[in-house]
Amino acid sequence: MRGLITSIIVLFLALGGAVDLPAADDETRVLVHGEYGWYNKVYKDLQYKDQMATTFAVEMVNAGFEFRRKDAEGNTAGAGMVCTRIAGGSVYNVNRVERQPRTSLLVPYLFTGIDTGMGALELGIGWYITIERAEAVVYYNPDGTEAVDTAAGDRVNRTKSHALLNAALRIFPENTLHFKFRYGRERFNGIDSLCNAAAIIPFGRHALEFYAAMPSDWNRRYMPQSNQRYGIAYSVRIDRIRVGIHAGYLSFNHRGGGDGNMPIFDKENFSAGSELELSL
Amino acid sequence: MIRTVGVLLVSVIITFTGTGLVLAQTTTGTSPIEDETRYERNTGIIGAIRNAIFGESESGARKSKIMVWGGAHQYLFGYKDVRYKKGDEDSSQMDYMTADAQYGGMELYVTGFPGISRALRDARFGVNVALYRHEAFTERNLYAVPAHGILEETVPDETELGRNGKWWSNIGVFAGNDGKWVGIDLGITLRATVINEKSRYKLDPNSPAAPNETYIKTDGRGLLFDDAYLVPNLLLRLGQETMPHFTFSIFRQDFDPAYGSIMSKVVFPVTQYFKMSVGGYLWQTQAGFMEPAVCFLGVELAVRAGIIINYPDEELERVGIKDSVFGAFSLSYNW
Repeated sequence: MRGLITSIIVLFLALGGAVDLPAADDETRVLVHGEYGWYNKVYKDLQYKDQMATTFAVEMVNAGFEFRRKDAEGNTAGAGMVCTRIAGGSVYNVNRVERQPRTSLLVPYLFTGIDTGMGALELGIGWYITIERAEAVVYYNPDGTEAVDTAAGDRVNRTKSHALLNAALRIFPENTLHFKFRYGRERFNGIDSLCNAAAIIPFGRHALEFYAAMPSDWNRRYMPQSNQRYGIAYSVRIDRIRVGIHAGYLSFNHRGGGDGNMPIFDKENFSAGSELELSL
Repeated sequence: MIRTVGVLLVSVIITFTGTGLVLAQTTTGTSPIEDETRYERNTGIIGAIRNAIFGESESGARKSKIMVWGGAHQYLFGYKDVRYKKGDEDSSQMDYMTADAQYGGMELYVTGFPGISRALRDARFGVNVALYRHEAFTERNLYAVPAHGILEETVPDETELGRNGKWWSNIGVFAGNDGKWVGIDLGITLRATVINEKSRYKLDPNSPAAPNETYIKTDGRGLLFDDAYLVPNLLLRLGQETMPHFTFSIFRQDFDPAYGSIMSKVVFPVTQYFKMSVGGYLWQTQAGFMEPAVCFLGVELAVRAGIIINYPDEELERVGIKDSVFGAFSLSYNW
């Protein structure tokens, strides 16, 4: 263990000595990103004796932007928003219907932080707003007849909406091998990659990123349940523009209690997207 | 796993320690703007008194504050009403009633004791007090629907103490260090609940119908302690105060003792005289708010308006917008 830590320290010092830190200038970045994939609704299949959990898929589209400004001293501030749109769908399950309501997730957020060149820590606050297609609310009159209290329509689901702290941690400078931990920051999806960690390998104008999104169902009431997703991303910088593509693979469906295992080669396991970042 | 976490932890510590040392070497002292601000803060009457007691700091005045704050919201009591037809969602049969609620508090802290020791140059000590009350709920009678076998009901029912008005008191002490980039205060808060019990239901031994099985409504005992316990308090700041920065607090700052004891803010000092904070409650409710503030000669007046998104009570899922908005203010003097 001690040897490993020593080697890490040596590696750090070597990197710190060998790498030129990015120039300490004011910098503004605007990132836009999009993604197409599938949301997999979990349900217990009543056709089978073991009633094993299975899923049905509905389309999911994700888009977002982030504005980030850093001054020469390293003070950082920014804001962004992600919108994840999940289509509605349903399947028959023997004697009942399993439904996935049409859902829009809006995640606006703000953050501030410190970027020292060798590392960055940014913290902020945002809101995870879930808008769902809801059924009509009907009540009984004293004579037993029914009346509509609220018509069916898109409504904010308060149970699934909450305030959301966000965080981004970067270790090592951006122009060398560096690591990132992101929670509700940068390029993410409101469902599958809200919390993710990445290793980024720049080589010249190009960069390769490997990331893993962590499932989170610590608190069913307040926290969104994301999945274990692995992904790879590639980007190239052309002058002040960075263009990238990414693809993800859902390895384990954690929704509905972690029982929604899916066949490995289902197309619903895959997602793909792109990003564009402008540095000013 | 442990090894990986250990390696990552060491890397983080080294990164920030190293860069902190570099910063310490490259940014000698404070910026002229910051010194000017601190000088201005030190020219107040309270600043002069503080200097007389503790001695003037080498780096100029420190960030000490006295603040009063107050606010109001609707306190909600949720219940199940079977007059709503049961739908797919559990919330389809939920309803709620409201009571006016108000709160107020005071916070005082002093930062910097160079007269005692240079090590205490950025040390901070303080106290805060907050009070909260909500009025009693008015009983609501729900009609019977014989066609569906639904009986007449009254909410809240007689066993539910929520019908009574409540008071909360919070008394906290804290200490910490207010550095240039990071500030952390830790402390302890005594939280006590006081109930204003207006009525109780008592067995009626003289009931002609069913002696000792029928309850009659009697006067309550008035104000009484319901619960008292200790909780930690915390204030974390990341980023320079004169720049956009992040704060996370537990029972600190201008908190709402019932619906916003844990909160977070992102503060944007737009000009010397104006700053905008955007934040959210994280416990007991989940909320978002905006808080513009005007600042002049160390006096700061902030007004907060926000909306609660999520309530801790599972029965509070279909809440109207006007019942979930809240407002607050704070007035402080900084020296």
